[in-house]
Amino acid sequence: MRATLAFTIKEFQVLVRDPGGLFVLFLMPVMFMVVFSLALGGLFEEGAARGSARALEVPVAIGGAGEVAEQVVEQLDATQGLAMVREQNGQPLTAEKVAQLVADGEYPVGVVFPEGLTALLEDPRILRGEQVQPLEVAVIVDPATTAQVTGPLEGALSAVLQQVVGRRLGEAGAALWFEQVAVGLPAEVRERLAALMQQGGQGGGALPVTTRRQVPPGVEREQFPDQFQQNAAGYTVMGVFFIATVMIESIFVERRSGAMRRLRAAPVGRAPILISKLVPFYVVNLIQIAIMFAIARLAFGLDLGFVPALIVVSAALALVATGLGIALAGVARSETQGTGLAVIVVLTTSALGGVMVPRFIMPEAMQQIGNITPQAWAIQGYQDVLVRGQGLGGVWLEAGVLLIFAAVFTALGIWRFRFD
Amino acid sequence: MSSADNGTLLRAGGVMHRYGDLTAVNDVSLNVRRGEVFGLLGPNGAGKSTLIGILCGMFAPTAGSVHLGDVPVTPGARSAKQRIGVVPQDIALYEKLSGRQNLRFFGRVYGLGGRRLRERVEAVLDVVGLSDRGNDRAETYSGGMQRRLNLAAGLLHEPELLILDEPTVGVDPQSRNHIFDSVERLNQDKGVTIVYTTHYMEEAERLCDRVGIIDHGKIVALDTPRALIESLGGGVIQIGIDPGQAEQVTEILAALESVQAAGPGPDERLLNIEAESARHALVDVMQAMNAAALEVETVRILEPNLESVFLRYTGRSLRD
Repeated sequence: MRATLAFTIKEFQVLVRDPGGLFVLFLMPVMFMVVFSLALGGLFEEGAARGSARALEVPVAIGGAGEVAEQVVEQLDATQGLAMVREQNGQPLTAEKVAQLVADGEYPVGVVFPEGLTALLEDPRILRGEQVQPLEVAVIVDPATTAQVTGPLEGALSAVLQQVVGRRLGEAGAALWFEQVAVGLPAEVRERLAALMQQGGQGGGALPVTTRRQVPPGVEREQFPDQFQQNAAGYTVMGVFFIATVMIESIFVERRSGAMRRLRAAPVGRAPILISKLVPFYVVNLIQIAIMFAIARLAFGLDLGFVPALIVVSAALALVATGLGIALAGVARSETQGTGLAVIVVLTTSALGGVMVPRFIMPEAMQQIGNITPQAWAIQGYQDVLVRGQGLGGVWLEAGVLLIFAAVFTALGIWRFRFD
Repeated sequence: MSSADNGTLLRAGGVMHRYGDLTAVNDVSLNVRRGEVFGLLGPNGAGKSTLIGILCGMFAPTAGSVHLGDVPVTPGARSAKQRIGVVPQDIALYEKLSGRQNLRFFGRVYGLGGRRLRERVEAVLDVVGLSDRGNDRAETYSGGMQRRLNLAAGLLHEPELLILDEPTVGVDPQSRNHIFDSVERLNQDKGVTIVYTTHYMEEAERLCDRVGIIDHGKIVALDTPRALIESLGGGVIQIGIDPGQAEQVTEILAALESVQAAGPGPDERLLNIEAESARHALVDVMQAMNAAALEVETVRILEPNLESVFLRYTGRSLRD
């Protein structure tokens, strides 16, 4: 009993001697609580309020579609969880602009109404029941977006279109019938019959307007990914960053053994020691990525797209992860603090970077913060290749940003590195 | 022991090192002669390891300088570091690697490669008697064997100067003797200059041509072991007294003809008495104490050796 007490007291004393480690220990759950609450708050409240960060913002181009399109957009805008964006910088959005916004990843989905929509519904041929070429309302979808996000919009759009177009056709048909056939009917009877006809117009039948899902121009991949394909990039990115914890442990074990101190007496500088420390972990990371994608390909049929582009993103990503490991090892004062810090940093930045949940469902501020995480750029790069079918030209920006992250982290690690 | 004196190999001048408010090394100046075994004798915490770190260029001193020949020894001085071998107090090895793998790693760090590296690895394994265990993981070695491998890693690049920081701490007698033999052979057969830190006076007496006694970061005495011991004269008597009577006792005993000096011991209950002949002086001391009705609680005669030298210069034991 006495010995147990002595060990217990000793352990407390050791913990107290490492206040940084304790701080990390306490900070971790707090960070998770705060970040996940902020990032996912919208998912857990019933009924996303209009205009709030939880509503799905949808850019829409009305152009020359006219009054019918205006009515559809108004009704969609009144739908819970949807916020239609009609203009940017005071200018109405065009079809090209909407496609561009989706292609750039600023919005997951957009809507483009066809020119002449309202005019088509006034075409006498339709009222006479003749066949006309139907118009399409385009739903522009980022292929990297999940069906859970686009589904509600597409459903609402179809329903509202049917309602508005049907009513419109009913009104026009009734007017035509009264003008040409039932001219002599009393006003009261005409009113009642018109209401009945409008109801009938909403009832269904083939409308001359349809919706069509399409990817933005320039995005080559027509195939829409399944859930696993979308998440393969995220899981890979998150896994790669956990190399930081292993690196920190390795560096602290080496320090503890005195081997680092011994190396300090050797005729080598700190940079070669650190870089030689990075290389094995870098290789481990590349192997890890290769295994992840091999499993995704073989077990789940993931189309790897243009593999050289995938390699470029992976090479840059692995550099960032090892750089982060060396930086955290330099900053941390103890092994406990270092590994705890790594877990916090990796999980927090992964959440912010869209590893666990798509960034577009986060509030705008969180999305902006996410841009400063390497994970966001890595996922964007992978999705460009895997989902959007991009080649080397499509990932140079992401790879470049990742290399900047790697350079900053590695420089910080070399600057802060201590032998003992 | 080699006593060849071909000039100074390592020179430290006014070296000082502080950790915050603590002065770990305080104005140390010393010359290590080419071909000698130079001992740094001091208790734990005396500043030996910090001084060693500065002497081998691990870190820069707060003040002062170190030169190997004419080359300054600094953290960035690769040419100087290439000529120095270091065996740290820690068993600074990679436990998961075999003895040979460890040695290959450290050999490469010092620029060895290919056939030369293979030859040197086998040679140093032979020196420390681990050739037959070279392929075993270091974690399977006994503490003594790990110490020997630790020593081997410092010999790979055939340094001119080998710095050994407490190389025998925690080892069994067999490994300790093996390390002693290795150090002696390196010095005598290969002419390697050695700086050897220890808090075991027997090691310093056996191995070292000259010994610097270090305490609280200062070199308090420096000479050959024999000269240091002879400087004591006959030896030291250590008596236990009532701390309240210390001043009175010191005054009485210092006045005795057979006593050379009397002063405080390692703690307030002990008094150190230096004498030409400790055994003869003891009779006078006991008579004087009896005459003054002062009680002597304990008596200890310290034979002349480096332990008593250390006691004389620092007032405390090496093992304190």
